Amino acid sequence: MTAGARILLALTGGFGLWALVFTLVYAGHAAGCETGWGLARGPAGIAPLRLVLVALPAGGLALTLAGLRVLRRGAGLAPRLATTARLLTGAAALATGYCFWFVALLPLCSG
Amino acid sequence: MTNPPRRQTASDATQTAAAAGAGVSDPLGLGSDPLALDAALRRIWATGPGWQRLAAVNHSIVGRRFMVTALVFFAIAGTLAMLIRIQLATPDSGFMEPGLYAQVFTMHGTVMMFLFAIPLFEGLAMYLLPKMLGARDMAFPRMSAYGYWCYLFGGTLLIVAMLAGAAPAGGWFMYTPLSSKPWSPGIGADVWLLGITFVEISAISAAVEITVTILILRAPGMSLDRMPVFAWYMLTVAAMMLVGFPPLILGSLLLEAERAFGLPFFDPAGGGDPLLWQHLFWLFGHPEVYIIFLPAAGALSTLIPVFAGRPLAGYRAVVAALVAMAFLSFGLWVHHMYATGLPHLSLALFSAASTLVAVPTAVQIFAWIATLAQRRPNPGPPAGPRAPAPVSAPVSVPMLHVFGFFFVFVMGGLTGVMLAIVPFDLQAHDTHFVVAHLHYVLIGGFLFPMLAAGYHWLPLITGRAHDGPAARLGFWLVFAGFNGTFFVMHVTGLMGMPRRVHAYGAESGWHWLNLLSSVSSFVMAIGFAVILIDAVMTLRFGRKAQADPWQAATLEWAVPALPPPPYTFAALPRITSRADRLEPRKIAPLLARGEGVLGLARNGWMETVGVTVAGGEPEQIVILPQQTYLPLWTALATGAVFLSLLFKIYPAAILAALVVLVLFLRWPVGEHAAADWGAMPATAGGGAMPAGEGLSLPLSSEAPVPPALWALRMLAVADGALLASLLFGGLFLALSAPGWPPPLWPALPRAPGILAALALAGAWGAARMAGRAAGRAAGRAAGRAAAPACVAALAGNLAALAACGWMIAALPPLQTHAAQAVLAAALIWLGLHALIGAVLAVNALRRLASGHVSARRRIDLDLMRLWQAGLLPAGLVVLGFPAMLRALAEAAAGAP
Repeated sequence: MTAGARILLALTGGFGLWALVFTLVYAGHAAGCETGWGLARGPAGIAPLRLVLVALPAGGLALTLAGLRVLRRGAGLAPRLATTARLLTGAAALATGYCFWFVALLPLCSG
Repeated sequence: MTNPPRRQTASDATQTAAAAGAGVSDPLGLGSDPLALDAALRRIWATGPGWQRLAAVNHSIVGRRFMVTALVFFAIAGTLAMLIRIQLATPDSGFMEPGLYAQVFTMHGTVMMFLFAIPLFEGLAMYLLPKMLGARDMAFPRMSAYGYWCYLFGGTLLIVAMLAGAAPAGGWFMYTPLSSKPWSPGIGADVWLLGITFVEISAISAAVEITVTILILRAPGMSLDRMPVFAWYMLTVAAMMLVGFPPLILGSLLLEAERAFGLPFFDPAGGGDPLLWQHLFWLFGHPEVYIIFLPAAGALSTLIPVFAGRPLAGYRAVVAALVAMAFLSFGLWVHHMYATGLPHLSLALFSAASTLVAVPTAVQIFAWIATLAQRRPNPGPPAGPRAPAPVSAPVSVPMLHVFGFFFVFVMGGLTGVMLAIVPFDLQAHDTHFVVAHLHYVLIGGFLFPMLAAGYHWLPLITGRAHDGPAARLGFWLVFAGFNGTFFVMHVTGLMGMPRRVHAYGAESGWHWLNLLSSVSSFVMAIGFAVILIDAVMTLRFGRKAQADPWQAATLEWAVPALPPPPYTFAALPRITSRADRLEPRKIAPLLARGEGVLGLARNGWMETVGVTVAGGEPEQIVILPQQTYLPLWTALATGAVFLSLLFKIYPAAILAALVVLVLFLRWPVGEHAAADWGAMPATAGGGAMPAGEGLSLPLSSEAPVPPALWALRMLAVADGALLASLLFGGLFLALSAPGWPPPLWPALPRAPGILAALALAGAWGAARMAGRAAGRAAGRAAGRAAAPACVAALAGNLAALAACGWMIAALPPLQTHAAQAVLAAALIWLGLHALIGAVLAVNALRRLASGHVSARRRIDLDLMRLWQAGLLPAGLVVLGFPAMLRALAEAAAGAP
């Protein structure tokens, strides 16, 4: 990986994952409600749609935290860029928690 | 057609290669005489007088043109605003009839957003970035000029339509069905859709140009972490534009297709959905707010440290905040659609993101406050007869506008958080409260900072010092008038006054507040007039500005004179520390003497240095194109395409599009690329050109990754965003629109689909082989070696194009249902891209034949290879799209 690509990944990886999760949750929610996944009953009586909607941010958060761990070791970046990347990735982890915690609780398909 | 004053021929290039590459850094024998160097560089870089001004491509000229034109459009939109306020000043006003009023408020918003705000910061960025980064020009000067002409012609089209009484009248966001043919039968909506798409060409070209310039045209040694913060802002903004503008371009094209040909993308009777327009519009529209705010914030982050005499507090946090804002701003678009009946969970998702974006905004505001809090007294100018006057007493004009920004923008931000909360938004939706909020955000977040920036960089741009007291009067009039105009709209909005109403009754109780708002708006207008007069007086009578009048610490003040010469720097500096902590007063004389990289003038070349993205290490010498009329002619032909579409003369549109294509094929530079300069013997330059300071670098035509390849990568981002928007649109309709699945599914034949996939794969393989064959061949033999593969790539693309045509022809009438309309749109996208692939193959063959391609000079082949490498996966997605669409629609239809 080139130095430029490494910087790009370090700076945008966290929020890139946040954006991906955001898109998948929004699209998945719309598609799940329209296709009946929101009403079906899955394991332990939980709708499969809810399981998916919870799994997506959880997976995104896990990957973001893993990225943060890599960045804490420096990841071969210049010091100022490394700090910026850590700030961004940490913020992305917090944003993931803040934006998606309620998918486990709110009614799925009522409007 | 072209007007290159010192154009070289291919044979000249070959003959002079040995001389110029002979290991000397001063081939013209200029020595270190700064006057001789200045004269030689001016001969190369200067734009000619008279009509030759139309051939200008220099970033200073084009940047200034963008800014001046944007200010003219601002005056027009401001005048429209005054008309709106006259209409609303009194109850039951008969000043304007409702239809005209609708045109006026539509054009006010449209002009302010598309023709003023975006072009103004584009112009400022074009003007400043090369100077701040230590480059001589932008990466693609002709693209700057082309973007400017497109902007000017597209904007003029809108204004002329308004003067002719054919302006759009559906609001600046053109919601369907109001903007659909049955409800807007004239050409007003078409003018908006085509005019704005025309102008958006300028925005996309500027985004590509800004991105590539920041990534690779920096001063040697200016690594990313040494880059001035303004460049970080503009890099982020340009990336946002690449992703944010394509949804609007797509939406405009789809709506125009519906209006012109009856393809029912937004018509529920045909399987369309008006909400699709809202999604596409706000996918652009909300990031747009941040696209407008962030350049202004970049200016603030640059000038606040200057006036505080301290470095920006929390530089790293500020960079992190702006990148975070860029991402978060794309997750907010639905907060303009809270009232459309979304499920609660979706509302919560967008409400959370909308509140969250306040955090990085606040980080920047606190960083600016912290910088000001650490302000140290200005030490005063250095002693000497030419020392400038102290600038710290009492509060400078730029800082007045900065304080105006703080007050107004923070208020707008707070009401933004209120509107992010769904229950409040449902109460205030479509009222004057929202009008107040958006003006507090946009005028606070854009206009005040840009006025501060204008006063800050006025000496640089005009060479005149500003010290008129009228500027302070102008500020206070604007500040008081603005708050008087818009603060009361919070109140009228909460009292229930809807936005866009033409009139209101006296019994509403809104009239005194509206009268106050209207009177205040005229106070604000007088303030702008005072500022304008002050600026004109400064230009006419202002004393000559002295070097670095603010004692700033960035490179734009290290130019040899104010205003800067057309070549910007006689030599490029080598940066060894942060580029926002420099001493321009000390650097400028050294650079003017040619002490730096490329401190020379040779071969009539417009040279600047290209660096590696991360480390800023010199990597190539970029030869920029000379002054030329090509951008003007190409923009005129592009305008002919849009005018033909507007007046439904489709054969003329096709003809004009062919002219555009032919003109673009004349763009590839240049005669320096007709010889292998780096192939000179080691005794004559060591395989590279001397660049001064002991450096030898390859020309960009021989570099592994020249700027053109970067441009194509950036264009691919925008193109990918457009395709993603189209696929999203189709899937959205399949899930949510009434009338799905269609009564009869459009059955596509398999054979052309398989043919298209194979043809694209073949074209990709052939493009790869062409590059490899050229790389193995020696000298002009590269042409013979690569030509068969180019022909194969051409054939593959033409086969894919034919297959797309076959599939589109097999679809049922496109007017009968959105399903086939969407499939046709996707296939047209693929066919057009195959056509572009074919054009790139033809261009490669042409360049092979003319000797512009060798083992070292493979840019034309690399462009073809990159195009095909992107087109293959995208094409496969498009070819799989019909099955995806059908599966989703049937799953939704079969749900309980």
